[in-house]
Amino acid sequence: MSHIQKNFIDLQEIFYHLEEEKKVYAIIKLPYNFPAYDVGSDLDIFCYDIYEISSLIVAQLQKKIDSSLTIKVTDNKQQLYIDILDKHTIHFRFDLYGALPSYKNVNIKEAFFSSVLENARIVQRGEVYVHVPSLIDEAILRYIEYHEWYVQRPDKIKHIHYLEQKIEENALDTDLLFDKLHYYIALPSVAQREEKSHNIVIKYALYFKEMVQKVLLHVRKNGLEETLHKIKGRVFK
Amino acid sequence: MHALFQKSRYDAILIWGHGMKYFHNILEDIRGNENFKIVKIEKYKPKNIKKFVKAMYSFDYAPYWHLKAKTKYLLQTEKEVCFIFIQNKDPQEDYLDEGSFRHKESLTLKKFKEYLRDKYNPYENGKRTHHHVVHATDSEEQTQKMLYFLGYTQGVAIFQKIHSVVSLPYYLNDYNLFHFLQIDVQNLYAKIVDGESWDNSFTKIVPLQETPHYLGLCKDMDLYEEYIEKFLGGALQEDYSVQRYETLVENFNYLQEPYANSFILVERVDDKYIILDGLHRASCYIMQGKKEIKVCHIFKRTL
Repeated sequence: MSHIQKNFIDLQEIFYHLEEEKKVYAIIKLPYNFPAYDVGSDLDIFCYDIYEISSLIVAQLQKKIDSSLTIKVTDNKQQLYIDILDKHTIHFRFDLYGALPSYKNVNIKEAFFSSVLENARIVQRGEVYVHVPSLIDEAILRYIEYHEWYVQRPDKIKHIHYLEQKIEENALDTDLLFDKLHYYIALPSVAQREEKSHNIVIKYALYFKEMVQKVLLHVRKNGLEETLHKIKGRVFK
Repeated sequence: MHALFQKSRYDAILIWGHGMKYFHNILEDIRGNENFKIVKIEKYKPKNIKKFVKAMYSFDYAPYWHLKAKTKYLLQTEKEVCFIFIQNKDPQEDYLDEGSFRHKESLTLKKFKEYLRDKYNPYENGKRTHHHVVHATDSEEQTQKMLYFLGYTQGVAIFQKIHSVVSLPYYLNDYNLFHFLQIDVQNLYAKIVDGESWDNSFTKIVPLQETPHYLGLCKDMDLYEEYIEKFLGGALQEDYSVQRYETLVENFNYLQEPYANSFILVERVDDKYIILDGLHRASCYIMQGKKEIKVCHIFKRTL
């Protein structure tokens, strides 16, 4: 059982110190309940110097270390995680980026990262001021995240709902949004990767594998009965 | 030059064999100069003093034949020298001499080198001889070459600050996983040096309470002093001194501002947490009667 209470980490105090030290950062997709947080959640932060920011965060968090609470930092050079662990469970995570994450489905110019930081705005949450991206940058980041993950994570549709809502509220200048979006991103060209083998056994094995995949897809879409009917039709036509 | 454009650099002061009897005095003189910070102390026993002298002066701006007569006295000196690498915080570089002898030099270090020579060079008939007890680098390039000579292929880059979530000393690089946790002080161990002399020693792992550092604090500081006098420049290459240790003890407040991130760094072997950096601080902390301590367990993970 967890001995750490909800909102045990004082995010307000941490960000108060970052503000006091005049550090350049931006919290991406600032949670609605900040400076409160959900247990197990994370906070994405863009910053120029992940080491400087992480040092300040750890300097505040270390006061909380005891026999159950530990802090684990994983340094992947351009990205750094600070995990607050309750025994072996993640209670909260800071996810610091020193550069844009690498996306597979979208090409983004590296300069977008500094654009996000340079154009960040300050908002007040609770008793603390925090830096967040401009509305346009936030919209672009959410759009990119949706585009990157919607196949695996249907819940990412929430980002599109966010954009729709902002557009409806006239909170977003769509002309500016599309200008910036088209300036900084490009969709990668889709090139079919085709490798053909001259070995007849491999050729048939690949054909068989492809057929099985097609059948499974058909079953998922149309059900077993419909699929069997279709196979029967193909075989005996 | 405007202060904005000045940067610190790394230099080396080489104590020749006949100056080694002043080894600790010279270290004290360097510590007393606010422009310098000792970053590494390494003793060396040249097999062939002639070749060694030639190698050292091959880094010089002047050709060796020019220095040959000047350095002849060194051939008779003891075969034990010491490299003291320093961070020169205010080099005040300038170009000196004319023609092919024109070269870049730190005026701060030049002045200090003369001070050491005035103090420790042999005197004859009340006059300082040219049998210099120390040699100092003119430029950072010469320091680089001295480090190459000692086998440090990265040169002065080894001293550059490691960017990390915690303060890491230069010899602990490439760590990428940091686990901050609280442990029982009974689980703290340390690697200490043992053996006959600085050039005939080995390391062993002992409980922190058995280190000369801890015993120096709770029993007799002479134990610590003997330890560093014996191994400084050998296996101990950081700037250790009784005075520095006593200053640390007086003002010690672990993990308090502005050192809230200066964790004692450990590695784990079985159930033992072995200190990699911070043995002096850990000893001070335990002397304060603490039973548990917050440490940073560092390790490397292949990315």
